[in-house]
Amino acid sequence: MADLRAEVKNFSLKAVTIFLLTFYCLSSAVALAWVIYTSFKSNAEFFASTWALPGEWRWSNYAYAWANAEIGNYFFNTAYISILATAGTLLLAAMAAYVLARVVFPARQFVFYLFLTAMMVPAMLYLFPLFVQMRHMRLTNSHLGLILIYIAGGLPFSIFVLTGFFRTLPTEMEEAALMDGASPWKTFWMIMLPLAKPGLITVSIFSFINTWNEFFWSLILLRSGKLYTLARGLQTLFWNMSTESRWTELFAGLVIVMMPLIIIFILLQDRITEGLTVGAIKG
Amino acid sequence: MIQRELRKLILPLLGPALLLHTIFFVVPALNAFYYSTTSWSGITPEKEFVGVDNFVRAFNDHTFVMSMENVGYFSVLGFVLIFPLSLLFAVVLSKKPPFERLLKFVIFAPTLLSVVVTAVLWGSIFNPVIGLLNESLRGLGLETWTQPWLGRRGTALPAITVAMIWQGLGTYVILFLAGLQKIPLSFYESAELDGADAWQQFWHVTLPLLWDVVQILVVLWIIGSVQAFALIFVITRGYPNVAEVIGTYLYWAGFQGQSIGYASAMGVIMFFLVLTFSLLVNRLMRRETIEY
Repeated sequence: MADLRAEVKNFSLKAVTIFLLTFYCLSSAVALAWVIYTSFKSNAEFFASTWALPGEWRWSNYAYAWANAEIGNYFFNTAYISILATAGTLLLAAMAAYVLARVVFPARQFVFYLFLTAMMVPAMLYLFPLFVQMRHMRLTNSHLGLILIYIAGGLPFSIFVLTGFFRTLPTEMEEAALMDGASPWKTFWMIMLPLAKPGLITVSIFSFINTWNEFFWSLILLRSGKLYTLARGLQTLFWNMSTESRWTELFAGLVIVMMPLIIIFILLQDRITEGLTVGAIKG
Repeated sequence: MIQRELRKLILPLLGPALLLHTIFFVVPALNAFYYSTTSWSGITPEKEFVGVDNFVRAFNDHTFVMSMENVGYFSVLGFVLIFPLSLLFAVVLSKKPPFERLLKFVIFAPTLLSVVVTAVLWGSIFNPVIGLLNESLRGLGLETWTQPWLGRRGTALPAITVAMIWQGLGTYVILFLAGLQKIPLSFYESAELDGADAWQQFWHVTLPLLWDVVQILVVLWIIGSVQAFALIFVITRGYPNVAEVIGTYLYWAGFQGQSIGYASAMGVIMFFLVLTFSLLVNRLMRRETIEY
């Protein structure tokens, strides 16, 4: 009797689990599929029926989104900003992390926590002071300003991860190199940095995804449309729907924005899920 | 000897990062506290010192109070929903289910998408005219259920919570998964020997041992809700609206309302909320953590 009851309980637990999982995954998949096939419809078809499949697969929506709606332009802006910002973050963070992990000096703890503090402070706190400051430095409405903010913003997390990484590396190699008369400068670049490669890769994947997706500062800093990043451009396109009603072209744009990340995710699934664990804790 | 050599690196290697960090974080963050005590409009150069006036104004401002309430709403409803959901998914994923990679994709991919993508997607789903939700209801003959989901507070807040959960779920599942992997299998074996069924094992072994993860997640979710901005800003097209949160109201006050002093005060309140919740939840839950 007790066994039967336990079995019923286990079974219903399983049923509920499977139902919830299926429901969630199915609605997610349907929403995604809806965006993708709608991006091939004409607007007339779309307004006639939200659900219906496209009568013919209209690639012209993509051409429109890419060229007329300037998603193509935003794509290149975002790509080069993300690459430069990621490279900058990686370089500066690796340098700083090495010092913070290996060199003993009085203010070490203080500097380390000064960086970490930024991970817990909402950007909303310093939004206006930083905006005013950027205006003084003539860095508003400029890609350089955005890149600098992205580099500075990426430092705390990257330094946090890389300092941890450098601490796990054995000290013998750099000691041997220094004993042999190599300069500390050379030891860092030639020996320690290559050893940190796995950590650097994790950090760069993260930094790249974050800058690729970044919206907040591009909203605050960028005024002219030709400078927009993908996130900023997509937002503008979405807001224009109230007057323009080119929904299917918007969806084509949405797919263009999503695709690179989906592809990155499929290619690097394991590394990303591992990195997310670290990333999540940063808050 | 070695340390003396290594110290030569402090300036060239640490300097650049520290400089950028100071210019783009430390200085503006400190300035925010200063601005919050002034009546600065952002246009004219005068910054008149007004003490705590901006803070008093905030707590007497209906819109600000409403945005605090909305933040509370997102914190509570969101967590009540995302907590069981993410734990369930993590437990299922830890058992290597069929279609594991597909499941992971559906759960984790939204986490990687830009918040704007999430906002446009869910904004379109909830759109009253062309939205997937209203269209589906009409298709099912539930015409009377259709409504402007984002137009009324009673439906806008849950609708936005759904979008927040969709985007946040992956992170929470990952953290639970990491926590689950740390629990030694021997714990389950001995529980099984004692005759515990799957449910009892979950309740008496898994959940207590995941307590520190739960603690992190509560803090993360509350902090996330307090700081909420982009999703709501994009979905509601930046207009003052029923789903206003501190972030969107602050943005509006600073850029449209031309009171940087007031907006900075709200930023300071936001900062202290985040700080308080992190410390409070840490303290409340620390004692319960089980060392193993």
